[in-house]
Amino acid sequence: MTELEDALRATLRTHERDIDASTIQRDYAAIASQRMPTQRLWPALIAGAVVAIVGLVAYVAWPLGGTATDQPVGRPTAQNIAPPPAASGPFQVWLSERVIPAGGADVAAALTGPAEPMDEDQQTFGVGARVDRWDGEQWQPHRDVRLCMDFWDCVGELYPPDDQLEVEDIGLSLDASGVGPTTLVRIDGLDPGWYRLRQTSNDGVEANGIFEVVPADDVETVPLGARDPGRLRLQPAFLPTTGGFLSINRLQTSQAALDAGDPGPPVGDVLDLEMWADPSWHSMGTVHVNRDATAGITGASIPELAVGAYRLVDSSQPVEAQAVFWVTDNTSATPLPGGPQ
Amino acid sequence: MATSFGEFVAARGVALTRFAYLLCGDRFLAEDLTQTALERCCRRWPVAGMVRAPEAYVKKAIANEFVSSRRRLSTREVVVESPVAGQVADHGLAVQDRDELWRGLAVLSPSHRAVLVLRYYEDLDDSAIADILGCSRGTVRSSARRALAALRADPVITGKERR
Repeated sequence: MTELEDALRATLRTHERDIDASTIQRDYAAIASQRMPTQRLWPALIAGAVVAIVGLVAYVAWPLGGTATDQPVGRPTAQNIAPPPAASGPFQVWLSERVIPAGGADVAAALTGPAEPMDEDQQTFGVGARVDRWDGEQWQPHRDVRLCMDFWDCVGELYPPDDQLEVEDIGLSLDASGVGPTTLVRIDGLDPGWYRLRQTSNDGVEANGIFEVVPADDVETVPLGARDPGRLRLQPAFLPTTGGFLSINRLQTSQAALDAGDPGPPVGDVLDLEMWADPSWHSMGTVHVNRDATAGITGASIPELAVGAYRLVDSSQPVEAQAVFWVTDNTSATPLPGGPQ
Repeated sequence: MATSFGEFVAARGVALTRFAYLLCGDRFLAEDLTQTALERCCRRWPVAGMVRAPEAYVKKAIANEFVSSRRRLSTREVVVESPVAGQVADHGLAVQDRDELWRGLAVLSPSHRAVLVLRYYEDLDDSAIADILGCSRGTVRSSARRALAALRADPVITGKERR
């Protein structure tokens, strides 16, 4: 260490004493009671009162005779548009983000439906989808969507409607637990308001997932990570708070290796479990990987966790691999697979 | 054991403000940074409190708020607290060195200063610094190298350092 570095250390130690309890003029403890930045408190209270009044009006004005599933999913927008009714029906689209900043966000999506479906309940969807906008009374087609499978090196996008969008002709069906494969889409270019991502099966059965676009810049969204070759792939995309089993694969690092039938690098025996706590990932410990050679399944049992976003990190290879999954609960507007609709 | 937000602030408020002060060099701005970071963390405390090191979590928020806020306010004048006249002469050469270095730190870019504070005050390794600042270890190393080079290039500081 040079003299300069020694002096730096000493300088910082000296100047830390410029601050002591008597010089601090803020009452940080008051933050706990106000739970909101001081400078934003009054505007927020006013906005809250406006929202409450508008919400009350919307509630009173809501058409009579609605059923439980017709309950609105949230507050009215700033344009005084009443929120849409919650998605209903046996099939829905789980979304990793339900509040999205107008600046856009990458979102994971997965179809959900009945667990252990009977043959007549089987439906096949695709990677083509639509985004509808809620106008206060009904849904209006707004964008066409191409979803990307999570193992593709892309994130899906929104396109203008009627743009003759061509998408891959593949079928997405739900597994025995009632969850479909994970897809990715970047939702951006939308004005604030209520929207739904709608997928339609070959038999015309719809699955919807509702989300809200808000003007705020500080909405927290979870980074899904780079679409690097060799990353991990997890299935399903989300688990209940009680935990569950995640199948884990490490994607091939090249198309040539994939074409040659190379199974790719193995998943490490121990993976790091990290939790997203804005603005970064925090270590939660490790999970042990189980391998069932007979069934060809590699995965890990995930313990009971709080609602949130998590990721597994495999550092067993020279190139670190990771993938995100989510923990959700039954109180979410997006139901758990096979859970109450 | 989860700590309540109030208990945490009571116990670590001074340390957090000191950290913010070393980053920004201004006690009022340090309180702003600390308050903003605590407000962000308070809203997520049920989650943040679960992580193993809540102080590291809040310091990370402070560091990020400092770097991003400095970016937003980059056209504004950088505030540097000067020692009261007469104090330097009273404290001798060692303290004078430190005040020159303190002033040298103030003109570094926010990210470079953050790297030096995290390395020489928090005693963190490059990996931990990279985690806090959301960059690679290589970026941390190059930032530290450039920041130290900038300090060495300061004619006042250069005159004091002896290799």
